[in-house]
Amino acid sequence: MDSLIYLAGRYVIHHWFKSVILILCLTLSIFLPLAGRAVLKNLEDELQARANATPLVIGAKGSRFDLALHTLYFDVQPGETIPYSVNRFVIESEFAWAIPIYSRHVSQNRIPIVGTSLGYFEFRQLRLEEGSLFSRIGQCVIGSDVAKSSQKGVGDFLLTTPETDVNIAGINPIKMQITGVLTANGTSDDQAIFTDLKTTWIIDGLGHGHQDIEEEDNPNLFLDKTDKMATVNKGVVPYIEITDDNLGSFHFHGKLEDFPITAVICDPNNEKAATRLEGRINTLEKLQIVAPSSVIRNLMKKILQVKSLFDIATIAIFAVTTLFLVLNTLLSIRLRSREMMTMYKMGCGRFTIFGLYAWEYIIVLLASLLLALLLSMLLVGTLQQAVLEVVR
Amino acid sequence: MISIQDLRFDYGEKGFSLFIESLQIERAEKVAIVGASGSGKTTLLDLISGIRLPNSGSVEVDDKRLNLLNENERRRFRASRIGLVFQEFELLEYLSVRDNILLPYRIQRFSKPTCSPDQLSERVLELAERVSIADKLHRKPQRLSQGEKQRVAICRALIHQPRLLLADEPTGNLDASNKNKILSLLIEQAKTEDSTLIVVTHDQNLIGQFDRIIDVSGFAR
Repeated sequence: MDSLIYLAGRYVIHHWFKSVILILCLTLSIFLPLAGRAVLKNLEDELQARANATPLVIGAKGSRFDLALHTLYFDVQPGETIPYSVNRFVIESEFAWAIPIYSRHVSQNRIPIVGTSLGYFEFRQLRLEEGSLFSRIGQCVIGSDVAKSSQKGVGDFLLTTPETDVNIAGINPIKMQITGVLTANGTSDDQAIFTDLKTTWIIDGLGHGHQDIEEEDNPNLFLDKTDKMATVNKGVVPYIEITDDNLGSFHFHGKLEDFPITAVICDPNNEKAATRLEGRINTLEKLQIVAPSSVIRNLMKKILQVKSLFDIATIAIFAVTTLFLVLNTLLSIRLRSREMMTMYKMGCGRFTIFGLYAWEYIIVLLASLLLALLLSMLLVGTLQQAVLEVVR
Repeated sequence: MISIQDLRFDYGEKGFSLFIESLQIERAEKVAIVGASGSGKTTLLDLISGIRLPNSGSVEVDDKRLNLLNENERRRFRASRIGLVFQEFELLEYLSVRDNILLPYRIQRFSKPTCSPDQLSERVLELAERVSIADKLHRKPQRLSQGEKQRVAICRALIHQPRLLLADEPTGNLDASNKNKILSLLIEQAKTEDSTLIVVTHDQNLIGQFDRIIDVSGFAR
């Protein structure tokens, strides 16, 4: 046996180019389905875990997937907003704990800004790595990935995207002060900026303060200035900063109850309360209530349907590789017929000759398995992370 | 040592037959088999080694009637008692000279080695020194000259100390200067090992070195 393995090994090493091609073909045939399965399983677990931790979500009627994914991952925009009064409606129904979510804005480096209540942090069991939660408008808490990527921490500032790009009302970017950095928890919360709902409404232009132009002493900034009125150019106010000093001047026009939010996360008191809440919401024309866990389950079913196509492709690759191996074996048998005849004449048994071929393929297969395993160890984690980054 | 009686071997489609009424070869005898192309020289070697079986008659080697042995027994018989040297050397390109010499040991799947690895190494070195290739043991065959390749093939045929050494035109692929050297070497090594040597050859200039010459032309029908 040792001698056979030795001879087979020498053959594999001598014909290293052929062996490498065989090993690569087999490695890919083994690695691709393995990696695909592992990545998909990890994705399913990740999606399902976050969805399961979010019992019910209320939002505007439209795509159930969009609403669930928006609430869980903040990046998908639901078609319509709902009034903030829905949040109060849920609380007053006493069926569930309600947390408003308003996420339609991004920071200047395209990070989603999530307007919510302090209850969100308790609900998601988010902990602070440093600093404190926001305590007034104009303050924010950032996820751990945001802190790393932007290299900002407590006391630094973040700017929102200027609404002037899309809003003719001409709202300037808001300069938000970072009061806390969240501990990493491997979810989309690591990649978001959390602030008070009112701050997001100020970004919308629904609330504003009055900046003191009188303190400006650069005459170049004024287009016209009289005792009663000053007209300034754009250079005067590049952004709005809410400070303790000007906080009092900020106010909202209209009823807060009518102001927009994108979703309400509901944590029902019990199953019966959940059913009754669903019943109530479903009677309303413009609202829908979804259970993210079932939405994600349906989403995964659809993904798995796509995966079955991937499986067919994998089987095809495996079949082609097998045919390639068969062809290689047949050619090899033909090319090595003299060698085998010599061995036979010298007293080598047919089974030994078969064993020699078998060991050559076993060595190639083992090398492929090892390589596939090594690739899996090196790449599957990265692939899983990359896919999750996309999802988050 | 070798006794052939009333042997008949038919080639079938070729319509060619080999008849040997009686042929005896003594132990340690050095025999040359000559004859025209297609007269059955290689076939006779195959019959003596049990690679082919006669249609009738008997081939007895070392008191073993080969046609009464089954395939496995004949294979083991060849592996243990016969050394083969081929015209084309038939060295395995992926093995070093040393591994090629050791091949008869490596392919005997069911046989236990008759000597220890150290003894085997000594034996390889001793044979290699005798045929002047001791400094080439780690080379691959493609880096050897034709003469050196045949020396390796001779060592491979002798490594397991066979009683019978069969060589099928061992000088057929060699130049004139190497032919004599290799044949002399083969005869000398067979003498040293006390093996019976049967060599198929076309070369009339070489046959003077043998104890006996058998012309198989007379056996063909």
